[in-house]
Amino acid sequence: MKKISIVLGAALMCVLMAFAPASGDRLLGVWQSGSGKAGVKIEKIGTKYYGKIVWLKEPVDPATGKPKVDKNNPDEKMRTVPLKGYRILKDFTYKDNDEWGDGTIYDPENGSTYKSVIKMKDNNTLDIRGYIGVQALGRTDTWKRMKLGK
Amino acid sequence: MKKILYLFAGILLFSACGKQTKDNITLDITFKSEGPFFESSPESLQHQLADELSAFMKQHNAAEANIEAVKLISASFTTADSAGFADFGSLTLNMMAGGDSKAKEIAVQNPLSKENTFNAQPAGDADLAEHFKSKEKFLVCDLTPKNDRETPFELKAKLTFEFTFKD
Repeated sequence: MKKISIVLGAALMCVLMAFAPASGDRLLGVWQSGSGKAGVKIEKIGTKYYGKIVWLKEPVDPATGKPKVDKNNPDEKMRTVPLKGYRILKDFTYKDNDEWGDGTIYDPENGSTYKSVIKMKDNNTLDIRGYIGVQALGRTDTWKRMKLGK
Repeated sequence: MKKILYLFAGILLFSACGKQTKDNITLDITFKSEGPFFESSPESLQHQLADELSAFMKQHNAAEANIEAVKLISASFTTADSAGFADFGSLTLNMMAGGDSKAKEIAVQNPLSKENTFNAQPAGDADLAEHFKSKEKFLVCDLTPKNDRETPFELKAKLTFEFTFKD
């Protein structure tokens, strides 16, 4: 009887593990930036993670009366790319211990791209650090998971 | 005599640097989405590149390591949808790949006309060599819907890339 219980227990564990998301995939979802100005949907393409803007607090550029575009892009030919839909987080890979690295974060307000690491503090909180050169020279922003229907 | 030796050494060094060859390839890619599309949310249509380049690489007797530079030089898009592109406000084409390559926006059209076909603006400075060297590579087409739409949408892209190969 004891043996049967152990086998059943092991089988149950296997089933649960098969349906649980891969560790890195816990990053997937929609997150609100620390400033509250944008909602970013993190998705997986191939083996890497990307975050695109899906919601903007102020979607319209008051100067033009039209939806905001990436007007500070260093490549002049790409300055008409709409900000809504723009991938500001690129090329993150899951490391370990709730950390994703090797990525970049783009700041549309100045057109700069920074190296970046993401640390998941808990299931609903991310610390996103952007830096130049070494991680010590950077800034961390805390993002919160957005609930559906918000 | 010394001058001739220097000249000979120079020619030898120059020829050792290897030569470059350039050629274009046009890829016909189909992007599909089952929908629904929501006005409030940009939609991404993906295509993973697989064997599309094999004949071209064979023709140049080239391996991935021989790719020196790749640039998108033209991008045209067509849809057979009865509404044309009227349901969408803009299109951005991106390229992503594995390894150390970094995702790049490679073409944009904003706003879209209601017509069934258009040429997008290729990026000015996107070198895609690292992307094409990678085994895993994706083209991702971002569409911003203007209206909610229940029905599927399909578009075809004709993308011409300029490859530079080194020996």
